[in-house]
Amino acid sequence: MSEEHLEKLRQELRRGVLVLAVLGSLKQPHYGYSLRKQLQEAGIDIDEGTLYPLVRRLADQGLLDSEWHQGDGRERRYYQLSLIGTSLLASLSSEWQALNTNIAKLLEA
Amino acid sequence: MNLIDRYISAVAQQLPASRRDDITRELKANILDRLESFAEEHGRPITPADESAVLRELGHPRQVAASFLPQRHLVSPAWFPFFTQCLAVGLLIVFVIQILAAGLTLMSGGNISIGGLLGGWIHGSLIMFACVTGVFCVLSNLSATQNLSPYCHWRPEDLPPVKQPWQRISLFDSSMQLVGNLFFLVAMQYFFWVERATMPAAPLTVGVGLKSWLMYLSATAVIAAGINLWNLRHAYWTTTKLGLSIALRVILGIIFILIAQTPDKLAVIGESQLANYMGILNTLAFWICIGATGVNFFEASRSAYRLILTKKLERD
Repeated sequence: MSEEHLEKLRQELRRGVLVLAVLGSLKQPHYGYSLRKQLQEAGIDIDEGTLYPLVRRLADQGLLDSEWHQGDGRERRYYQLSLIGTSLLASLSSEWQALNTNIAKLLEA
Repeated sequence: MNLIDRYISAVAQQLPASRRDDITRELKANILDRLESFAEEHGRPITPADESAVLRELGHPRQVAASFLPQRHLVSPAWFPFFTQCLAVGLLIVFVIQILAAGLTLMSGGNISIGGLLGGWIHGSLIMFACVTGVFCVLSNLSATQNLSPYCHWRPEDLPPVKQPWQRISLFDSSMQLVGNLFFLVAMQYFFWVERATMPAAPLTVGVGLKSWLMYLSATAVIAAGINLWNLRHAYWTTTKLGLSIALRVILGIIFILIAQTPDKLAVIGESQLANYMGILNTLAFWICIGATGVNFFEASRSAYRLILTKKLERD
């Protein structure tokens, strides 16, 4: 299998869990760039062209609340989980845990 | 105007007015954060070259603007299989119209050429492609149209009872045969109905011997076109279709043998010098008829072989 093919499969695998990672990170408020840094520190490198539109989509779906704040001489838009987002995150987390356990069993077999 | 403002302006241009300010305001804040971080990492102030590199990394303004908007498709993946099916049928319809138009032109005394036919088909196909794509573009971008797809209402019971690939009849084969049969049908009516005096400049026409068979050839072309339409609707071989096909091919083969034996297959109109070569031309027509006989008997034997295989499959 070529490196290119492997990379494509890796990206497909990661794409599905990015929403979970973003929602999980936004238990605390973050603006766009700080969210990216937090994800990078957690080992999830996501480019800005993917992250910012994703965050806005989640906000449009009512999963995130957002607010503009002035700080360090600059305005920034802060996002945080909404009530609906919090509830959805709990469901998705359970789903993720179950999936992870089941796949782990398959991989160990 | 610095690079960032130019970039933001270029992105804004691609966004709907209702969301423009909100998205560009946030995008600009994110870019400034990125540049600030870049300066910290490198321990020096940002240069225009750094700005350019950061903006290039972010992406082309059109791509960035598109990423903030709902995904749009010219033809969505859900509609694409039906789109290609419609294009294939559309190409066939355009081709049939072209051939029929050419036949009518011939009957009315006009001239046709391969180049004109090909150009007309390409022109008609491009118009058909644009119209079909336009319809599917609308269908792909309206959520209310999801239930309109014929693929939503299919039933496994309607799938063709086909086990082997050879049992299928390709759309290409059926359509080409249909076009050929329709063309010959129209062309034969020309020789059958139009009097010599009204014919255009063509110096050759069918002779008495061949003309007496045109009615039978026309009848077989009508039946063959009917079978082609049946094959287009149900694109797989059945024992009934194969039986009909064998009978038709055998009849055609016999007709061509009988035509080959007639003395006056071709005739000259007026005082053409071709009259001196009628012997050679009739010999050529004889061998064309023998060739047509061979092709029809070969097709009949192919259908007979398929019939044997089909019956064997039915027994298994």
